[in-house]
Amino acid sequence: MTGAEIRALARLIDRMDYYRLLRVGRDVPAPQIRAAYHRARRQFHPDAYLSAAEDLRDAVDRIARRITEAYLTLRDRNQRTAYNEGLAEGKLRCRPGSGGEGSRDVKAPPGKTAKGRRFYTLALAEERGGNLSKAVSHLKMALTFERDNPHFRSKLEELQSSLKG
Amino acid sequence: MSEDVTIGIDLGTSNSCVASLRDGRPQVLANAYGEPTTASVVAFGQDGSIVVGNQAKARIILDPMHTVSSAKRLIGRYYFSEEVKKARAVYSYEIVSGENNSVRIQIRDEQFSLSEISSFVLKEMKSIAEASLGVPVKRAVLTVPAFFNDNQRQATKDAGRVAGLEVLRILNEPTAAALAYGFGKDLKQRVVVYDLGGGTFDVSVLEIGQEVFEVLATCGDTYLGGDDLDDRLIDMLAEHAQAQHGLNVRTDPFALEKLKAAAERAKIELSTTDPVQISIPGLANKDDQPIGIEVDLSRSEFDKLTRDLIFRTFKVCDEAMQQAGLTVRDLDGVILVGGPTRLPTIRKAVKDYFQREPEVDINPDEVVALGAAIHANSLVGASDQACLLDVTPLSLRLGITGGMTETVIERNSPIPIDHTRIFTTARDNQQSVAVRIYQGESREAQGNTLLGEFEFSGYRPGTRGQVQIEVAFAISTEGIVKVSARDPKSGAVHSTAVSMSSGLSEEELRAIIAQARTQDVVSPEDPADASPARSAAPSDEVEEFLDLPPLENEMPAAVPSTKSPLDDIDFSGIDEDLALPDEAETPAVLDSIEQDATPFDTKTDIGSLADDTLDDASLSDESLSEAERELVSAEDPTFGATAAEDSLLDSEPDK
Repeated sequence: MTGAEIRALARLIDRMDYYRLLRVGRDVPAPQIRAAYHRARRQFHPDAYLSAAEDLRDAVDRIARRITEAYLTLRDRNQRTAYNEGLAEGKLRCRPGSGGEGSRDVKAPPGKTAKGRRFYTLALAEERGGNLSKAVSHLKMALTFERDNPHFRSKLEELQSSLKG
Repeated sequence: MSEDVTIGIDLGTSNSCVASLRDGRPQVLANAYGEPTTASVVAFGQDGSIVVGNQAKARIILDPMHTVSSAKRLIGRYYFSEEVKKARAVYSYEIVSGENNSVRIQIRDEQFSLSEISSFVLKEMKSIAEASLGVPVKRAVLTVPAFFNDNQRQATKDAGRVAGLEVLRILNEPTAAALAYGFGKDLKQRVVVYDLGGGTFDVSVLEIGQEVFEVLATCGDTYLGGDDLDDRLIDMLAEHAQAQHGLNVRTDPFALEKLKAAAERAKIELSTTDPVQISIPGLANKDDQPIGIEVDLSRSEFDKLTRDLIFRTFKVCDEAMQQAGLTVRDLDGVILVGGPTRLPTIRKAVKDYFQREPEVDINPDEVVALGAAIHANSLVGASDQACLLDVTPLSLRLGITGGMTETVIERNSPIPIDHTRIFTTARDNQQSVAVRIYQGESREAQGNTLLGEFEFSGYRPGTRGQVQIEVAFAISTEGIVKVSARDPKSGAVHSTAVSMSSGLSEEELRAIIAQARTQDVVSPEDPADASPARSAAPSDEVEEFLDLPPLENEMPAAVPSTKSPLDDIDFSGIDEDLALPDEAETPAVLDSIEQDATPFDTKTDIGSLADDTLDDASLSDESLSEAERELVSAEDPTFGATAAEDSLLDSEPDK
């Protein structure tokens, strides 16, 4: 890859999902995730750009860090399931915020009451941490404050089905 | 020609070793006496002369107050830390407190930072390499214990800079050892590196295959090593002197150093002889009569004295294996690193624990430097590069209100890595937040090591809980931490390499380097280099060589700064805490929660954002991504935005 391509990739990285980043299909079996991670890390290793211009080094660093993030998410079965569900809703990353330019996935939790929003947020945090049953109990709590919130309901269903699956 | 010459230096607690790649083979470069390793000892003469190495070591007995050994045990530590307290009890040279709780060594009327002490050793290793290779050498890979925290890594890197070296990279010792072990072999193995050095212990579990060296887990103890084994012997000998002659060697630095030297010698002799006779004639004078001691020591007695220390290493091994998710049966090899692993006691214990004979054709004193040399050579593009995938040994934490911390990046996460969190202010109209960064495994701030702190005030103040502050944490491939705070609304950024408040300040460092440069002149480098994707020469060669972190604000080009941070921050006055959004809402939320008696997990850290702020944020994001698009096409006419997106995003995923 040329320096220009790497710089462009670093800028576009917030628009890529983890599968694209690791260049694997969404149905890739778990053992191949690691191979894909190794291949990606070999291609974008900061060691290989030690004496390159600073902005190029930054770009490679940024890509390498995102590859790590993708790998950490996809290598864990629970996290991968949760990520896939987020991905279906268009969420490309499973972590809050993104540093630098991309804060587009920092979303306000939907909800009319402070407590409802709060427990919904707690649920999402537990989900990210892979603790689905805790996430479910937080969501149920959120629903006690906002019985008819459709976001809460659909999220709860989603979590409960992935808990079973 | 000399541009291609690189070296790898294993800067050890007791001994250091330097190596380089010659004709494609890594080779240890011996010192003027033909010895492969050089004592990491610095002796300061009355006349201002500085002697390093085995000659300096010989002077410990003659001049213990002005001869500094085992500096690595102190580098990057706070004066108040337990380790420094222990060191003050053991070492005869004067350990004093410097600015911001740093450690300084007092030599007559001069004070030295630990980075300076280590830089003397590194300079010596550099000149050993130059004498051996016959060319000037500048570029080096320095190794550190895998379990070193950010402070220790930074301080070691600083030492390299002060020594006039361009530190290509800081590399973990066990990773370097594995690299040397796997070099030139087409291996696919899982190995464990048991690295017991003079002062530190590391264990790393790695998978080696197809030019990828992946660390699965690393654990360690930066205050456990051969020195501690010696200390047990010293205690035994001191008791002996007390019992036989009523002599308290602890109050006599000269006698103590004689015991230390004898203990170390006996420990080494035990590797080949059993039992050994420890004989110290003229240990001290009593009533004008020289008195000495003679003690016989068997291997089994030595084992008994040190059993708990060796047991401690296996507790660490347990942890590493567990973190790697492996059992000893999954391993294909055991690599021993560090002088103390020559001890039959330790070899046997390692063999019993891992149920396998350790690799025999590895020199435990040299293998780390060899690995560092291999990597150094590949970093300048002079040879094929192995892909090293390392991990961070310690969890990265952020200080929050109430003296607690939040884990931001878990230990044994692959690096490089980053993580961003949104936080908010604790009080209405709070003008600034203190961002404190820790490493360690304790939820309480006190149980961790403070890496640094900075104040962020570049945001628009507002009611508590309404202000958003994005804190981004990054750990580089060297294990060095960088943190920045940003106001997503205004775009104001405060970015800083985390540096320990007790280390050398940037000004001090610049002054020391400037001083060092008058002795060792640095010539600008040839801009042509072997990077595979180089596109522009760096603008300021010298600055790049010095690798000085920028003092100015690092700012994305598109967003204007509201404040230039570092210059006008007074760290001492910071009392405002950074709060989790949860805690910002504490009064209201906690009250209602208690009433409702709902299970509330205070551990969580994701804040709720008010709806109006959100709209702002998403709006500006939209415009940012538009601007980004523009940027891509404007910046690089040959590489249009859409073309870039197409080729990058639609590249065929592998099936």
